[in-house]
Amino acid sequence: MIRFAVAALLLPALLSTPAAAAAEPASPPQAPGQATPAAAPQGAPVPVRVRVIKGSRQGPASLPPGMAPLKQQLGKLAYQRWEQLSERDFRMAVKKTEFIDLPNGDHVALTVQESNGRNVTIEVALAQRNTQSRLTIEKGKRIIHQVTGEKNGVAYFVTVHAWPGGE
Amino acid sequence: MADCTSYRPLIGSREGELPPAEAAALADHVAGCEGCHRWAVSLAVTEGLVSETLLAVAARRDFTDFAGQVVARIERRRFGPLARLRRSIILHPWFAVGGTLAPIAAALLVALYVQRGAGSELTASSLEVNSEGATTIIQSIDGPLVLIDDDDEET
Repeated sequence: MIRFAVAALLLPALLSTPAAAAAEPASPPQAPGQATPAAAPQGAPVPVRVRVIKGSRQGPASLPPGMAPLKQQLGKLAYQRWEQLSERDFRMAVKKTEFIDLPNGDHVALTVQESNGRNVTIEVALAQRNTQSRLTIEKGKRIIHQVTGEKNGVAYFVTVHAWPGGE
Repeated sequence: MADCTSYRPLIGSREGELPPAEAAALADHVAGCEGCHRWAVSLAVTEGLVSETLLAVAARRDFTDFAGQVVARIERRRFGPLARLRRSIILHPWFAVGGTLAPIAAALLVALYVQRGAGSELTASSLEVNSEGATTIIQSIDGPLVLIDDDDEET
């Protein structure tokens, strides 16, 4: 046990020795204002598929075939009849906001706050409700966010699927 | 004869085993009774033979590692075959070398894991919602669901 503790303390120090640092290739100096290369995984544009969907409590239960991948998540909600109103694919640059129009005239602002190629933090902002959500999801996962309050048993949702094609 | 029936079971008693009065009465009876005297002599001879034989058998046995053999037999009874195998592996010299290297290998893995994770601070379970109204977050395998409360003006 003591040997393990000593080794655990010493190894990180050994791994970050000057020799190890010298072995790493030095990154070229970046000119002021120059954008980060798109090839870099951290901060690269994130492919995102955004859908606006409508959920109803009334009527026979139904889920369009195109929405089948959402079934597991939507099944947790009380709404039983689902319709897809729109679908858009974006390549969202970090810190750049995209706006999604809603049927009631409002809009949703989506912003990729941070991405490391495996996880992405997406901000969903509803200005009309003064609501702001920051959600971090793994590659291939999906956010489903209610964007309107329920009225007459109907509510609208936005789904945000990061890296939908598994890119 | 009635006395012989009473005294013969007492013949061969160890010293101090009988009360003094009874021991004296037995000695008087054996001295005066030919049959009981022969019985006592025969018994003494038999005991002597048995004793000599036992000593001879015991003398043939080598007791130099007696304690070690007893411990080994206890361990054989206490531990099953798997436990004995495990014990033999643990006591093997190679295992001692492996035991020394294992903490270093484990520490190396921990260090690599920490260094690899240092670059990615994002965690997939991070959720932060700021809202004027109430919100509900439901976690699922495919990702989070965020529900908002009903609009007052809409209801």
